[in-house]
Formats: sequence, structure tokens, C-alpha cells
Amino acid sequence: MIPTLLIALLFGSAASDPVERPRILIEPSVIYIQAGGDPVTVMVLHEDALGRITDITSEAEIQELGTRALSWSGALRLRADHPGTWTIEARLGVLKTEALVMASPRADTSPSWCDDIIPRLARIGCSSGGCHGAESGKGGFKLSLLGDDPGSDHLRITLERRARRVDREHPEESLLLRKPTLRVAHGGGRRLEVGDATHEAIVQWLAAGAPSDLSSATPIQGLDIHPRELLAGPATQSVRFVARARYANGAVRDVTDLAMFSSNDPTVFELDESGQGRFGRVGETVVMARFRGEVAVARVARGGRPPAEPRVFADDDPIDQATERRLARLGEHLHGPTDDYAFLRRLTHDLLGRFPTLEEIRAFENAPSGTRRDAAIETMLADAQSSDRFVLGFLESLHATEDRLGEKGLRLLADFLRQSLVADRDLGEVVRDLLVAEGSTLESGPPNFWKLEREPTAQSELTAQAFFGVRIQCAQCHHHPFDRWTEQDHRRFTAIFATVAKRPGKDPREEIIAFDSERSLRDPRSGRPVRPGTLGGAEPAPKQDPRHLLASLPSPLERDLFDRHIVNIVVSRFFGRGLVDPIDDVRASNPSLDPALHDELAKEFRTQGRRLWPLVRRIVRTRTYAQAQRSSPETGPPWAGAMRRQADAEAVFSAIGALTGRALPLPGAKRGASPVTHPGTAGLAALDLFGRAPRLTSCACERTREPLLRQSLHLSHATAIEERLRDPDGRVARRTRAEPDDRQLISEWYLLAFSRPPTPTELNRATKARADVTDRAAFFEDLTWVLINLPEFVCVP
Amino acid sequence: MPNPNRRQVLSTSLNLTLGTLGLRGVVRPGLRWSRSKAPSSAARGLIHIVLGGGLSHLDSFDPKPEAPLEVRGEFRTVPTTLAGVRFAEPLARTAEHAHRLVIVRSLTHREGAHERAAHLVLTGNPPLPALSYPSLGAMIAEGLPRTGTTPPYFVLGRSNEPALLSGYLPPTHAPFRIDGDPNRGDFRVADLLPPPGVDPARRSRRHRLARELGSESPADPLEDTLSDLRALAQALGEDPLLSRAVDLSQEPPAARDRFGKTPLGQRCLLARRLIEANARCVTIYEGGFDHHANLFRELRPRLETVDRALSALIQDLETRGLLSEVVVLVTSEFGRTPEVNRDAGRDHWPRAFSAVLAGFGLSAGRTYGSTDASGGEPAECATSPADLAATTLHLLGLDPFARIQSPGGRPIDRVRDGRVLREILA
Repeated sequence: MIPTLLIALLFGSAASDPVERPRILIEPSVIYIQAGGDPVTVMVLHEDALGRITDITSEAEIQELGTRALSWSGALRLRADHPGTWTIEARLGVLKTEALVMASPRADTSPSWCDDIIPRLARIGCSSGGCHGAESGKGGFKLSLLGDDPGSDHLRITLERRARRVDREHPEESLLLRKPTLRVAHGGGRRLEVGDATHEAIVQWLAAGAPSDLSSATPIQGLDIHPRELLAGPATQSVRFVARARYANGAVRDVTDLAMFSSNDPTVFELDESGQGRFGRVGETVVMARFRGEVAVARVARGGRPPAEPRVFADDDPIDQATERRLARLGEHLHGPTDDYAFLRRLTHDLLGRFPTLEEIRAFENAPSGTRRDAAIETMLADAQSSDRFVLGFLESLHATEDRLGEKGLRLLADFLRQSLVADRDLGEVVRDLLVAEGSTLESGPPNFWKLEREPTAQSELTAQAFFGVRIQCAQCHHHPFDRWTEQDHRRFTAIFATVAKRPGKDPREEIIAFDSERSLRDPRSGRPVRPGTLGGAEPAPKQDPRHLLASLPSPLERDLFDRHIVNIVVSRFFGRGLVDPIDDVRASNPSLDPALHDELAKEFRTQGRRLWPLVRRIVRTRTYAQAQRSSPETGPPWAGAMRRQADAEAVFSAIGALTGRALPLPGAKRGASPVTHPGTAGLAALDLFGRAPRLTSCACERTREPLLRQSLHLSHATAIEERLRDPDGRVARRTRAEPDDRQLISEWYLLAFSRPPTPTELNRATKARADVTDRAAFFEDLTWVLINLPEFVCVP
Repeated sequence: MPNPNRRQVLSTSLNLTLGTLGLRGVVRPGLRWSRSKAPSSAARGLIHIVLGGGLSHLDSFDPKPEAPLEVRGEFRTVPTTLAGVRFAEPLARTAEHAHRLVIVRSLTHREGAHERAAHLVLTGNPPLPALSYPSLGAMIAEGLPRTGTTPPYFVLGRSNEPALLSGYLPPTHAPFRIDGDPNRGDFRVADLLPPPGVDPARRSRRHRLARELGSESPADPLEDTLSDLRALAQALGEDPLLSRAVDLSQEPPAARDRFGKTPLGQRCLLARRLIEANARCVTIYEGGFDHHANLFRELRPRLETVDRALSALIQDLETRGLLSEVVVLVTSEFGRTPEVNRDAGRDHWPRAFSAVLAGFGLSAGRTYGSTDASGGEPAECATSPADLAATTLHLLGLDPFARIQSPGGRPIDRVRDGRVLREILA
């Protein structure tokens, strides 16, 4: 494979360079064309002062400068009569721009199997997963999924069934054409009209003898989509996308009529197969083009408001500057800072997985107002529980449970991770320790990584998802239709994991993990051992433990995937949404919100030794993190204002204990453990109810933060809560004995429940309600219940 | 802006207008608590049995006894109460009720992976990368007025299936999940009623204080949802209806036995009790139908469990006069390959599979559509999951093609494509 190119395709880079606007652009700016060949699609775009792009092809005046060798069919389709180089110019009012047209001699008139026929069969649906591309084909005719195996497809079409699918003498009588044109019955219905371009191409190919050019076709190097980024204003109706293939010999071809286009969210932007798309609701999505196994993506946004000037300050973190620039183009801004109490509650929740204690709030109040936020950040970063909270996330992504590892194994693995994070070790080395682990699962943490799954396939998929954010599962059976991983990539990656022996130890719970050079993965078809290879294509030396190679992140592809993934985990924790979202589904068709920023953060993470805490510190000190709640909560682009979130299950669980003064029981946990420090998952219905990940799979989607009726019923009715608020040793009993001042106690209750003092109205109402009740303890029991049941109790501001 | 009295209204009385649950604090005047029965022009509820993994249509509702062995498989077939219609032999009890069923044999789609196919069948809409659609139950919860305090949508049985959730609708329309196994003696649904020792006076004092202290919160969709849910929890706590409905010990032992002493059987019984207690949609998830190997050995006991539970449910609804008011729907995400594979299993096959309906508004006692000789493709009346979803919503009195509110405020069709299968309606 060609790593650097793939990185460019996967991650692209945002067009954030300073340009003079408004302007108009011809896309593509260099137009490659074959003299006398197929027309290419050209469009003219207008970019306004704030970067919004509109398709103005039908309004612009377009003309050729110099000799007239070009002809237009329709508004957008350009043909050249003979080879040469020309300039075309587009004008709209005072704006003008030029583009270069390069027409090469027409090389080969007969359509290419790989370049013309295979893509067309895919595009009209023949080789889709629901038709002949299915695992077992359809109606006795099998094609590879979306044409990813042109060799086998050629054999099947030209030789199978005694070659009756093709008739070279009378091409139009070939079954290959009579079926999809419904001249004979076809289960898949009409797919083709006699005389259209695809029909013509297939006829010509058949007439030329139905040749395969598998060995002679120019290897494809990449696919580009134009425009790569499109920001539409409210008035924009439709836009056309163009796809261009780049070949190893330097040739470039317009493949708009051959590529398959799709949109991730048709309610924002819906495409027809020609690449023409229409805008729907306000939002952002991704458009994807696919051709000969290559994928290219474009980001499409439709703003709901007029764009604005970015408000960037010199001392902003680059994260804030990038975010503000992105938001301003959509007419939004970073919001102002939230108030101190909300910040403390948010920070404590996100870093420690609980809400602040009275003592923490008091210390925060007593610190000088200019520095109290930074001071709180430093105090919490120094708290070991901030490591525990991250350990919990890692255990979830590894789906590490007592069932898989045993209680001791799970504890050892959690302890290893915790010690590594407390020491702020290089995370690349921490992962290396897991990947190359040897020895007993009862003696140290890392070997337990190898006990998480039994089969090499599952272990390799877990590794790809947990450490690189990549789901290679789909490639197990077929070339991933929307990504770059092939079956071979999957098998070779899995082969790394097949070299590990897991032998029983003395203790029945024990396994001894060791590299065994005799072990290998057998290819299911040939039966021969599969040579191990990393995702980036690196291969170990003979007899070398391939895990060491993998752990060294040998290729730029792996390094980038790893660093970007770790950065994304951290960003997602604190900003509520990752740059890539979901965090564990990195693929070409799920690009980063801001690729340039993502790259920059990953690069800094790497150059600073892959340490977690400098990155966390930087993120929680940004303006983006400290924003007030967004003013219109319904819509709006990611990171424009803070979203009020439901708290993590662990924080709700601890908050009940903190407010009642009696912690809820944590079965199987050590004395004094909190749900964040306890690595186990067994028997905690209340935590499960509030969305703790059950760790059945490694999917980040397992943890949920959605309000549900059963949660409200629990807070309102649970016997465990009622017992605690009435407990003779509980907070109500203790504090009403010790503190005679009602207003003082009410304030304390608010601080504990909501991390803020009551407003004057709340204080007065509560005080008045207190006066109406003779039994003081009963009032505070009721107040405890009330605060637990008000929405704010489970919210992170 | 929310009505300033909204919370008060919500928590004081059930008989007053309820703000649209979760619809972002906008009061929609038409939505009321109603104690009246559903109009006879629509079913009062849906019991949806989901057989997860991909039930082999060839070894259940669409057997091919005339086909070669590698297609017809090992099960014998039995006649049903419908002339010329046979079921696989493990469904012998259900076969006795065939005249009360509509057997749709021509379902077809193009999604060969479980999750995508399940999304298609359970929501009636295509799986998209950036938008998840609500399940049938969530659409019903959103679209129909609430009756009494009972939540409208239940999911019985543990499942991580995301297509059973509320999708783009607010989480107030998410299912009330009962994961526990009602076949166990210790089965209970926690927290439905207030804890012992909190008398009604104390409860109302707490609710009053909560109203007084809660009114200052800013308008926020999450807080609005949480407030609505608290009001619902309060209403449920004051009404023993639901807690009685989930108490299966109130059923005579013989009735419990008829459904089979299995999780699925007891869930079917529980579903009927929930519908009687005003639930609108009860979805039962029963997994384990993904038989790539040893199909005949593994499927038989599962199918027998389904047979017992389904036939008992139909009979029970009929006896109680409920079959004419409720829709029963049995689906799976796809069928299985016509040819038995080397491991005596069958693989995923979305091109043809079956579903079964019974109850309100149906022209009972017929098949709809058919497959070819090997069960590989629909031969007549090819039917999409969208058609089935549209028909189900129609039976519940909802316009399947009406537009409902999505995130970002753009209306989205309940079902994107598809048509109501008028041919199977009474």
C-alpha cells in the first residue's frame, strides 16, 4: 500500500489558508481531458467574504481564451476536439477566474475492463451487496462486492455457464446486456436502457473481445473529489460533485460518470448518482465518492445563519482559534465563559467522575478569583482519581470484565494502567507493554490483555478498535466498501495475534502468555501460513515476534492513527463530542471535524512524548471547554457553546451517597472504593440504569447518558435512597444535630447537590417551607429527596 | 418558550393537558391524558415479537416440502387450518391458529448484516450513517395520546439492539425496558411504587417543595425532559395499575403454563397484561436465531418455545376478546439461505423471508406473497420492510407517511418509502 497517500485521503487538510474573498473558482482548477473522449464536468463556485460557497455554474459567463477547440454540452460538460492546452475563464460581475484545460491524445478507444466496465457494473447496482455482490451471488451469478476482485469477475462473466453471458459476435445479444435491459426476465429489474452510456460501453467492450486488462491497466493512485469542502448558505439549492482518478503514470481522469456517490446524511444533503446533490436541513455531513476501491470524501455544511467575522484573541489556544474560525463561517461563535460554580462542577465531573465536595467548593471560593480555575485544574490533575477515570475508559474500550479476566486479572490490569497514568508514562510505551506482554496473568497486568479474547481474529479487531479507533471487522469477509482495509490487510494483521501461545498455569485461573514462532494463521483458502503485517504494511523479520514490530508503530499510518485516536479520546471526554465521532469508528467516510486541528494536536502529543496530562491540561484550559451553555440548545454546530449533559452513571451514584451521607453499596469492591476506582462490573443495577457500559463489546456506544423514566423512578422511589436519607448516621441526622442555622444548612445542601449556593429565591422559599414544618429532620429529609429529584442533580452544566 | 405553568400542570393532575413529552417544552394543545378507549378505527396496541439473528423462513413459516433435501432441510411440515398452507413441524400449535394469522411470505431487502437489517425491519427505514430512526414502538409512543399513567412503549428482554430505541425522537419516547426474566420466581420491576414508610401527605409535601424549588431552572431541553420524566414517575407512583400488571403471580398457574414456563412464554403473558394496563406497544426481544451451523438441532427447541408462546398468546387474546383490538406482529431481520451449508446451517438471506401478523383490522386467514421454489426470491407481491412498518403504523391509527419533527427542526417522514398493504386489511 501507499501510506502517505492514504493518510492524505483519510485525513485531508482543511482549506484554512488566507485567501482574498469574495472570489469565484473553477472546479477543478486544472481540467484533464481526452481529445475526442468523454466530456468532463466543470463547475463554477462563488465563495463569499466569509467563506460560504455557492454553485454559480449556471449564472457565470464562461469562455475559452484563444482558439476554439472546446465545446460545451449542457452548462457543465466540456469536450475537446483535439489535443492541446487552453485556458478558460469564468466571470460573475467583477469577479473572474481562470482554469487550465489540458487535452491529451485519445489513447485507447476500447473501454477498459478495470477502468470502465467494473465501475459501471458497480454503479448500476449489479455488484451491490444485495444483488450479485452478495456472499453467494444471486440467481447463480456471483460478482465480487462492488467489483473489488476484477479478475474473478472477469472469469465469471466470460467463462462461467459455458460463456453464455457474453456473445462477442453479437454483443447486444449477450445475456450480460439482455438481463439488465429486461429483454429477458431479470430478478433485479431494469438496470440499464439500450443506448445509454453504460450500455454503449459494455457493447464496445464486448465487441473488442471482452478483454481483461487486469495486468496492463494503469494502477490507480488515488481519487479526488471536488469541491473537497463546501459551505452552503441558506439560499443554496444544489451542488454537483466531480470525482477525478489519479493514476500511477501521472494521468488524471474525470470519473464523475463512473464513480459512486453517497451522502452520510441525506436529510442534510442528498445526492443522485450523477454527483448532483440537493440541500435539506441545516447541518453538516460528508459526501463520499468511490471508484476502483479508492474512496474520497468531501465535507458539506449548510449554515442556518449569515456568516460572521471570527472573534479571535491573541492569547487564545490554537484549539479556540480553530474552533472560532470554524464556527464563524456558520454564523456562530464560541460562547462566553460559564460561571465559576458551573465550571468547577463540569471540571470535577469530567476529570474525577464525581461532583465536588463541600471542602473543594470552599477552597475554590476562597482562592483568588483570577487564578481559582487554574488552581482547581492543578489540584484535580494531582488527584489520582483523575487517572482512575481514564482507566475506566480504557477498561471499557478493552471490554475488560471479571468474566473475561477473573477478579484478580482485572485488578492487575487496572492497577497497571493506573500506575502508568499516575506516572504520566508515554502512552505508546504503555500500549507496547500490553501488546508484547509475556508471562502469567496472575502476576502482572499486561498479560491479561491477551486474555480478553480467545481467538486471534477477535483479539486483532479489539486491538484495532481500542488503540487505533479502526473497525477492521468488515474486512474479514470482504473488502470494506467504504474504507481502505482489504481482506488481506485483515488477515495479515490477525496473523500477528496468532503467534501468541496461551498455556494453562498451575492455578486454574492462570494463563501463561508467550510468543511462539511455530504458531501462525492459516489462510482459509490456500492453507498456507499468512505472513503477519501491520495495518501500515510493515512486515517482521523471520522468527521475529511480530508484536514488537506492531508495538513500535512502524509506519506513519500507524503513528498517525494512534496519536489521532488518543487525542480524540481526550477531546471527546471534555468537549462532549470528539473530532471524529464516534471515537472508535475512524474511516475515510467519517472524517475529522477539523482535520488541520486534529493533525496539529496529534503532532504536539507525539513530540511531547505521548503524555496524557499535558494534553488534558491544555484542553481544560481552553475557552472552548469553559464556554457557557449554548443559547439555542436545539441545533448548532459542534462545540458552539456547552451542551448541558447528563452526568456519568458513576457521578450520579456517588452524588446520592454524598448528599445522604451514606454511600450506596458497591458489591465486590474494596473498602472505600468509589465506582470510578472500582474496576469491576458485577451486580450494580443502579449504575447500569444510569448508563454505565456493561463492557459486552468494546464499542464506545455502550456508555449512555440519556434520561430515562426508569432513572426518574429510581431517584424518586428507591428504597435504598429513602433508607439513606433517614439513616440515623446519615447527613440529615448528623447535620441537623450539629448546625442550628436552617439557612446555613439549606445552602450546604445546595452546594452538595448542585455544586452552587441557592439563589436568594430558592433560599427564601426553602426557608419558608422549613418554617411550615415542625419536624426539622423531616424537612431536611424531604429537601434531600427534592434536590435528588430536581433535574439539576443529574446534570453537568 | 415553555408555558410558565407547565411543570405545575404536569405534576398536579393527570386530567389536565400534558405538555408534549420531550417535545422541547412546546405545549401541544391536542395531547391529553385520556381514559377513554382507543377508537375502534384503530388498534389499541401492538405486541411485537422480534426473533433476533435471522429466523430461517424455510424452516418455519415458508417451508418447501417439495424442494430437494439441501433446500427443504430436516424438518417435516404440518398442515395448518388454511388449505394448502403448511408450517414447519415445530410450529404445529401455531398451525392450529393459522386462520387467525396473516403470513407475509414475500418480505425482501438488501441488507445482509444483522445490525443494518434489524434497523430496516424495526424502524421501517434505511440504516444511515448519520441519522438513526425511531423504532415502531417509539413512533407509536410519539404519535398516540397517552392513556393513563402507563408508559406507552415497553421492551421486554435484554437486548443491545439500537433500533429498538427512540432514534432521533427525544428519550421520553424511549422504551421502558424490563430486562428481567419473568419466568424466575424473584422477578420484579423495581421502583414502580414509592418506598414503604412515605405516606401520601409526605409525598405531596415533597412534590410541592420540588415544584417551588424547581421553577427557577432555565429552559433547557435536557432539564425539560427530566422534569417531564419526574412528573411521569410521580404519576406512576400514585397509581398501582402498572405494578399490578407486572405481577405475574396474579395469573392462575394453569394460564402461566399455557404460555410455556420459558422467558419468552412469560414475556408474552406479561405483554398481554401490559396492553391491558394501557401500554401501546410491547416489543419482546428473543435472540438466538442466527444458525450458521447445526441449524436443525439448535432451532427446533427455540421454535417450539416460540410455537407454544405465540399460540398461547393468540388463543389468550382471542378468549379475552382482545384479538380484535390488538395487533400481534412477529418479525426477524432477514431469512436464511435456501441451501443448507456444509455445517448443517444456513447463512444470512435478506432476499426472502417471512413475517406474521394477527389481530385488529386484518383480513385474517391468508398468506400474502410467496417465494420461488427454493425460497430464494419473492415470486409474488415482493414486500419491503417499509411496507410492513407502514401497514403496522396504519393499523395503530397513525399516518405512516406523516412528517414528524427531527433534530434540527426538519420534519422527516415516519416511513421514508413503502406503502400500506391494503390487500391484507379487513
